[in-house]
Amino acid sequence: MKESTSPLTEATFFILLSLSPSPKHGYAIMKEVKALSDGRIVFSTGTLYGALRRLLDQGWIKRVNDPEPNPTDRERKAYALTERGRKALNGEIERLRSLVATAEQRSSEGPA
Amino acid sequence: MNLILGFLTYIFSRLLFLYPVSFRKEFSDEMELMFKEMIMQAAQEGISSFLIVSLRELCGLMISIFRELWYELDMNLRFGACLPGGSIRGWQLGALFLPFVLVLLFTFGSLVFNPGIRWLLSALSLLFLGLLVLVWIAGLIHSFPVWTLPAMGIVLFLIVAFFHITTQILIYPVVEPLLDLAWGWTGHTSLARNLFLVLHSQVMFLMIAVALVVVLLRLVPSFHRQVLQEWTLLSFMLYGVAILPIVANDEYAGLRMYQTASLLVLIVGMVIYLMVSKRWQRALALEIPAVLSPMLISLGLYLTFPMQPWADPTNLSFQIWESLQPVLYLAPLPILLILAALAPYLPMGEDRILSQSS
Repeated sequence: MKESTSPLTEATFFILLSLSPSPKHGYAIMKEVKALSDGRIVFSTGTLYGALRRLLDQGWIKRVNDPEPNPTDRERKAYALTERGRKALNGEIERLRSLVATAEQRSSEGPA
Repeated sequence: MNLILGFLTYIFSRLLFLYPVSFRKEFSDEMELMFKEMIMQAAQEGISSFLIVSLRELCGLMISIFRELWYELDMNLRFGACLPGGSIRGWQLGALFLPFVLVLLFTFGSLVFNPGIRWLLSALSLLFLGLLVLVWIAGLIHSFPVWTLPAMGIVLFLIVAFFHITTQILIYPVVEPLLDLAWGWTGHTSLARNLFLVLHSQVMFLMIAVALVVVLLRLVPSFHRQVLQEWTLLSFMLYGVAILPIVANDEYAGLRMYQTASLLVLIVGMVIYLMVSKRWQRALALEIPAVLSPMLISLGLYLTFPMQPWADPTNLSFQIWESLQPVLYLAPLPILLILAALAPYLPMGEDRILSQSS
């Protein structure tokens, strides 16, 4: 599949970022994204699973067994970053870092 | 509260049925579970939090359902996904249909537009013609991308037809008397003589088209590179050659329904070509309509004979001969579509340049 080189959307970026340390199930992703984005991005169930489906189709995440299974849960699956997803996330972090560096350099020069 | 939570969960699980089947099978259990967890947590935080979460969930669900239905449709109708260059976007699909729609306006349009609004037909035709010119320009600038190929096929047809007619004008005055002298075939109604001339003419057409295609591939190495990957792209461009002959012959006037049907067959062929995944399916998707399309015109000619006031309605052989003209005229096309399979074996233009420079 062709790799996307365009910037990630904020929602995609935060989903990938939330999965970066360890696999998580849907509700945990939703809470982590909310925390990471300071409450700016709050997924509903529908929008979160829509986004997860795109990421699964792109091969950026994969399904794994829930690392913290709850005995009352029915077959809850967790999601983990794939190598490709990690590359996309690192690429985006690099892009953002370069943007910030450029912006900082320009702002430190001050007005002409 | 438990009753409300149960009721909301029930509504939510029912609404999940509005999702496409594939999505529902994959995610509905997890979604239901997550929804339950979310509203239980919200209920513990207070009534306002509960209301906000419930409302957000319902709105999000509605948006998501529409988005997934659209995504599913988009995935199922992914035109050109198996061709070099990948899926074809909406406007590119429009460019692919453009040459067909333009000719369809000429055939079907004249049937449905009554004389009072013929100006509208002319205006639309002019608009589409202008767009077709833009597609031609884009095709030349971007080295024949997939979405311009049928339109470029029209240009190829015009060039081939020009050389073909010119050659015929030059050769016929020599060939015809020779035929008459050598075999004594006299009289214009001699079937053997006419068949020989048609065969001769169509072999010429084939040779000119092949020569032009070879020149084109040498001149546009980036298109040749695409053809190396997928030779049916060349067939797809040659497929465009079939569009104009549907309306090119004056004798076909009055056959609008047959012309329209013939054009629709070509359109269906193109759509199938863009959708199927295997190369042999793509080749067949073009080959069958290329054979069927002129046959439909021939059928129309046979059924509406005599079109010409001078034709003898009792002369069956002449009726058959006249009807066969469209099939005979486009006989080289199905051969050309298959010959395209040889294109990857042609040496590339830039290879020659490279070998010269080294």
